[in-house]
Amino acid sequence: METIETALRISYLINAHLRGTISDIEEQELQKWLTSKADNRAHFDSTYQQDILQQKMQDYQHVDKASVWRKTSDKIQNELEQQPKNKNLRQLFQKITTAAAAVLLLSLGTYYILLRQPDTQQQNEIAQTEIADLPAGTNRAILTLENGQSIDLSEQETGIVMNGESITYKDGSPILSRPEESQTLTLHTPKGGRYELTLSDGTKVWLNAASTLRYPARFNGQERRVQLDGEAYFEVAHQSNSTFKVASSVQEVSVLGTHFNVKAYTDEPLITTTLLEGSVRVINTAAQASSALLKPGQQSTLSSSGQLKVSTASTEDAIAWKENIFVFHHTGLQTILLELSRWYNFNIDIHTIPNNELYGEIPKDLPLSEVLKVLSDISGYRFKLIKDETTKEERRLLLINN
Amino acid sequence: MTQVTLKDQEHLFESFKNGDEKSFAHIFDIHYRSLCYFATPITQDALQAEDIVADCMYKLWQQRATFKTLQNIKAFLYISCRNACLNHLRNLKRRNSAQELYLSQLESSEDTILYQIIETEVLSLLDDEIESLPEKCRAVFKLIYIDNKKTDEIAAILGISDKTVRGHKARAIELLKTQLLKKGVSSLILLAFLFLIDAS
Repeated sequence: METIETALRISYLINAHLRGTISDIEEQELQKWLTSKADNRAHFDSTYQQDILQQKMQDYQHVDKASVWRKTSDKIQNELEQQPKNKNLRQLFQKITTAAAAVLLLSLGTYYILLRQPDTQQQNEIAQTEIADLPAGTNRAILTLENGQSIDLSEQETGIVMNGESITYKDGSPILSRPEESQTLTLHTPKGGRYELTLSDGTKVWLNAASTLRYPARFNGQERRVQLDGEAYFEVAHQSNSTFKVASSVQEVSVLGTHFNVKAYTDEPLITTTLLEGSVRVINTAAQASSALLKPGQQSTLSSSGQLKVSTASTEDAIAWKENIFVFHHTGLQTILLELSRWYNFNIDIHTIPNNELYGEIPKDLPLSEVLKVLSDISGYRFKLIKDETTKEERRLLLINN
Repeated sequence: MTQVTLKDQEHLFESFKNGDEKSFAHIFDIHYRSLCYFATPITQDALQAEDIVADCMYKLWQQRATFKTLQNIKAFLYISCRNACLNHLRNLKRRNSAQELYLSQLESSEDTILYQIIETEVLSLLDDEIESLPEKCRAVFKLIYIDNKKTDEIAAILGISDKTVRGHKARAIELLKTQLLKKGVSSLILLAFLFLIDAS
């Protein structure tokens, strides 16, 4: 307690000193503290300099309020649920989750608020046009060769096949004959796109929206290695003498032949790997390397802080995207909207969204307006889609607090 | 954070003690950032720090009736947070070198906590200073100082002209009291410009 009182007093003095509003007596008090102990002086000298302070201020500002609030209100709600008497209080707390989102908008106080709730002057500067609807995603992808040549793949086709001699669509129509065998190719699906790929070893890959797979035109040697950013489902052709590896940021999945799904979007905090058949080893390739062996029906999550956890999971849910259904089983609103943003191609400031869990299944071929209507009905939030005239292309989804 | 008058503070404190959730949300707003900043280096794990802060906030809610002043709340939160960090470090099966160092320092003296709280509180006071800037001026300042954006990028983000951005920037420099914050936003040209004004 004494330590805290001292700390609060000294921080006040340092702040007044930095501002230049410190009185002579206070300055003496600060100097006395600084000279009373070498460590005090060292702390002062090493902390309150322009560059260091700016870096610290950036760290200070980057705390994830929504996440801390969610964890706090979850604990309180849990407690309330164990005491049935407190029903009214519980309802209030559910409301407050919405209120917290409003508080968040207000207290962030940054440029987000200028974009989101423009005052009249601001409205003159940013014209916001409302967009009525966005169509569902389709079969869209771009194949890039090592020499930089890009090929827009046909929307009439569903996938491509790497043959020994050529690259063709699934129905056999040609794309490219005699590609350089040693080159690395990149298949990229934009937001609102998906595509299938058969690799040179017969392995099948379903690539979800906003994802990139880098792979060699032909595998050789003991290792079949591809790199994934985003989400893909793999059906790996078994080869007992050659491991198949999927690398994504801080994770590597190593298999001989199995069916599994990897979700590794860089804008999500977790990398999720779900195993349907066979067995895979999931390796955390970051500094403190750890690994886990998955059995069918198990799912691993690797957090950005390096925690690798294994749990049982619904494999159907994990690959529902491939079957053209959004499956949200106790899924947070943030995750839901991120997934929608990739399929309907819009932007969203995810930190302004509360993370209430919702439950539902929605076909992926519906236009966005119908999906949002369902979401509004079950969540109670309303949504508005706008086009920012300043950035032309940008479509942005806003959450409106009732 | 929003400036609150003494009367507002008393009202906030009383309604918090009576179990008003909005007041609790407000008190959460005042403290969560400092606590996370405080706990992150000690645990060396930002997500763990969030868990610890959420636990402390939950305890604050449970024990709300026992507090005597708003200042008590701050002390309570720092102490709970320190204890939770210490327990977390003790219970880790493997510790990296930084965690090991923090653990031994926390167990041997209060100094680490002292400096960590001083630093956090100074940042919190600077944050208050930034928050008290007028809205657009503050937005421009944060884009420069926190997000390292350039004038033309800010103009595009906010949908205003380069000239208007420079105007808000100059106003921020004029209003800020802390020299170190001013220097963080001012280019050499702008400083020279201000110097000319001062000299004339």
